[in-house]
Amino acid sequence: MSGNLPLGYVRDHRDDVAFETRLLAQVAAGDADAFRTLWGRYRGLVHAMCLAVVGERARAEDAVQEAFVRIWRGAGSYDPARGVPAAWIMTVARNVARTASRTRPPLPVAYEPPAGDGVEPIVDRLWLRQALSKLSEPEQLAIELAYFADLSHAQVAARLGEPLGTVKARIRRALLRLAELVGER
Amino acid sequence: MRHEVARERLPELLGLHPAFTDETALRAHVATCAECLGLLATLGEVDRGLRGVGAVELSRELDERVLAIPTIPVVDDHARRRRAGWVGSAVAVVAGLAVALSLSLTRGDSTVPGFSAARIVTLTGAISGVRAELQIGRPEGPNQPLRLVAHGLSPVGARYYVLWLAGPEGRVSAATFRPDADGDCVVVGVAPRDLSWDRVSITGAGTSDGAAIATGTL
Repeated sequence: MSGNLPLGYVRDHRDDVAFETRLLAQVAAGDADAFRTLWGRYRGLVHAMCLAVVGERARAEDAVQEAFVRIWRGAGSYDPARGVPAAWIMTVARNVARTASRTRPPLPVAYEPPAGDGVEPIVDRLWLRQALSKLSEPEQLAIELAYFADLSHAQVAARLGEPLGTVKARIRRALLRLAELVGER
Repeated sequence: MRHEVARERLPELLGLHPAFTDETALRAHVATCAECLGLLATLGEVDRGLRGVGAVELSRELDERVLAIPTIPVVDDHARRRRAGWVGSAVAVVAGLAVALSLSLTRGDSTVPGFSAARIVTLTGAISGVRAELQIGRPEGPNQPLRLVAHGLSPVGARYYVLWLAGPEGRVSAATFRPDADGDCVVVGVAPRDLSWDRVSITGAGTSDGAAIATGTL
């Protein structure tokens, strides 16, 4: 169906939830093209999330691969009545990443500011890992989609099947919570 | 504007404002409120930190590893294994080339039930200590069963290795695999029976020179 789409390509679907629900059903049926499309839509997001949680690139990549193995094999267990595909996919990936991070403590790899900035970063990946886990699941998902997948807020809303205002408010709350956590360090 | 209201709206100054919202009153409050100014600076740091995580590029090797997942048979999922057109799906994944080699890793265990080798190709290691052989089973329908048994592949020299089948039409990446901690692995799979190949080699995945670690001739 969409096997010719380049990786990372994000289509402007009016109904992302319905599209991704069909995509997961096709993956469950063993459709490799659908799996490729799903990978193209989530590769950056899952990778960034795993990197934030695990903290080290090689192990994060292992976690990404493991997450997609589980998605490929477990897509049939996705139940649309229990949540949107994005939530299911990220829950699977987050569980894998957390398990990977427990096998060995992550290294505190600092976020690198733009060259010449000269400012010591107060937000590093180790901190992000700890702080993101303190957000609610819907807040985590909204932040991950907005920042790690580099989606506009309208695209995040479409992916979640929720009103734009609701999503923006959730992201605002999540950012305020993260800023409060910085203050508590 | 009340401080409590302004505080809740601070993320709007990062570009999260709803449509038609006037920021004038919010900015006027922030300009005179040290607490809001400090929180806004922290929000900016959080925003940049999150963007920094999302900006990391993925390696091409990871793309290849993930896109090879559909070629891996699920041993305990009989429905998927019986799925018609399984090989055809794999063909689309492996660079569009007419090959599919499914693989399963039985690390360190060279005995695979049900596999009978009709022919064996010995791979000579270009690196000391590497030993490998590709066992070719009797054709089963459109498939050619294969089993690669390798020893001495450094688990740290390359994280993953690639098995290549080469013929008159060029070299085909057939499988990506990973040895165990001792450098041993057994890769079991199938290739299309009508694929024309007469040479086999192993390289490190993601290596720029593509130099073979071991090679063999049919």
